[in-house]
Amino acid sequence: MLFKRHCLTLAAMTLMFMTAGVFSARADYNANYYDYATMVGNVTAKLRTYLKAHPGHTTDSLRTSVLPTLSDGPVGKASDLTSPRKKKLTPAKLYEMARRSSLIFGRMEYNESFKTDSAYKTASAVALTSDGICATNYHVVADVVLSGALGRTDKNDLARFLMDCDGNVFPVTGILAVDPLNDWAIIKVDPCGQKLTPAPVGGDVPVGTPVYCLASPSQAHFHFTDGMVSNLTRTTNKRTGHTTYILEITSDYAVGASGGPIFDECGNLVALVSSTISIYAQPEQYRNFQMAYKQTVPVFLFKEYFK
Amino acid sequence: MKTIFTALALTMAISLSGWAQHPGRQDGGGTHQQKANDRLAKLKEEAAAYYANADSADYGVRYRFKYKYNKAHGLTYEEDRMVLIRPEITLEMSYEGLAEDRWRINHPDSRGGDPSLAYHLTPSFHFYYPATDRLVETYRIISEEFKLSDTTCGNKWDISTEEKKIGDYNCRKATLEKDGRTWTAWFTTDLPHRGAPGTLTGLPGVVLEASDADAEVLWTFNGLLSNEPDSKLYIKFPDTFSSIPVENFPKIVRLCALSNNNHLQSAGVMNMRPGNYPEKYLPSTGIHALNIDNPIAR
Repeated sequence: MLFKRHCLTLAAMTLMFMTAGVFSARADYNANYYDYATMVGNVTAKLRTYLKAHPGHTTDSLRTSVLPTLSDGPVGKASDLTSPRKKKLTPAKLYEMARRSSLIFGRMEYNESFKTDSAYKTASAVALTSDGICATNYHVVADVVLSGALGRTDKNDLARFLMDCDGNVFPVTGILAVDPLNDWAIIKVDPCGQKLTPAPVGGDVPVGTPVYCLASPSQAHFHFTDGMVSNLTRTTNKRTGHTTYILEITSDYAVGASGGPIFDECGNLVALVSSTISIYAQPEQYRNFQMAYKQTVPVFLFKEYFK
Repeated sequence: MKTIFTALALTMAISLSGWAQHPGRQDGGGTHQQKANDRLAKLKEEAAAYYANADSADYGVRYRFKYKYNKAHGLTYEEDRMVLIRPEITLEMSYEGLAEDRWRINHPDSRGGDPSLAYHLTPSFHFYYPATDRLVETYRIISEEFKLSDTTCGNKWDISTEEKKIGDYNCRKATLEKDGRTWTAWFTTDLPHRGAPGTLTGLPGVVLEASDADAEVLWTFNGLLSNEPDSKLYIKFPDTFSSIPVENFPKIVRLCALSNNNHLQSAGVMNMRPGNYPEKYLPSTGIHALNIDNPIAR
């Protein structure tokens, strides 16, 4: 009887230790696994608090300020940008460094039907300076730019924001420069007393250069993929005379990655995600998908705006 | 016999099923035609309301406008323009606006109009009052009407005795120094009243051809336009102008010119105004969408 009791106690203790060991091991692993969905979920409450303290930082105020703040010339000095790195990094090291510069772009709006506000992710962006100048695609902010330029407002469109990999939220306060043809925009956020981690800004990269994309397609937040520069193209529209530049890459990305950064092997920003082009054998019917290639915005286009 | 009955029953069932799915097709697409007619009626109703207080031109002159806008790439822009003429006022504008309206009236069951027309449209308007030499330039972006300038024209033409015939009309030559260019215009008094393309106003007749000395900007006569019962040549001065400061216009027009349809749709600005009048098509900005290295006004 006594022996049986001892056995049961021993078994219970073993189970306890094993369970504690499992949880302890899981806690260790948790440090390497990120709950980005919860971070995005927490943005609503953070922005709600922010907007109470800064009622002038809504999307409508962003719209109102679009034309006065939009610049045709420089938006900063070249020295504001972080110089390019020269040392190649391992992909793991590159990811760790680049993750801090890659940002999620989102919006918060009030839903009349549900009588509540909510923030959600729409695209990606990258930090260019520590004081809050960032880059994304024009098509990510085009709705604000055009509706603002034409004097339109939307009281239910509460805010646009960026979020970093630690869940810090930075409300967008200005749109400094845009290029609708080449699909880039330079925006300003309120760093909220913090310093953003700017990406070192690289230069031209020839075809064949290994590149990495660290953006947030759909629900795959801060998703890291590799590839190489597959083409550099330039097209001058014969009707309008405008030239567009495209840096094509093989690194994978999808909807939601718009405006996200493309890095070279040294972790320098060399392009922004822009679009994907799908090729079908029967394009009229969108049948027999064969390949998709990725079009990005070469960094020199907006680097010129820092002189 | 049984097989024949079965076949007949099946045929009837299929026919009835088809009728049930497309009851409007029973009279050869009557419902479809009715909808098209309704759309046309609505279009005319909107036009009547919009143009209720507008003047109607006695006639119009159509031009082919050519402009070497980018010397670096050797690019030329072309657009059909027209001048609508009444004794007390003329209106110079894109011909595509009128063509779009007429296309819609002739194709009431089609959606969206002919995009190839609007594609080349520059929605700029020059209202000229010959009696006072007043020239008002307006510009329409979607439904926003901007008054860009309201000035006395003051062109000092030098009229020569040189003559030539354009079409059936006897024309005289006149020259003018303006905007850093030397302009030559050929005008006729065979047509009634006064009229001229762009800002080349002030001659005692109707200009049928005009160009600068370098032949970089050119208007050539492309026929006369007459009022049609279903599509009149309206001269409609905007009822109201946008509250957006006109200083912002260059930035706005550039943004609209360079943004694509998806951008405009996402901004919700295309749905700001219901109906079709003033002409509702994508805000093509024509000449303002160009990468110009050779401005008309130097």
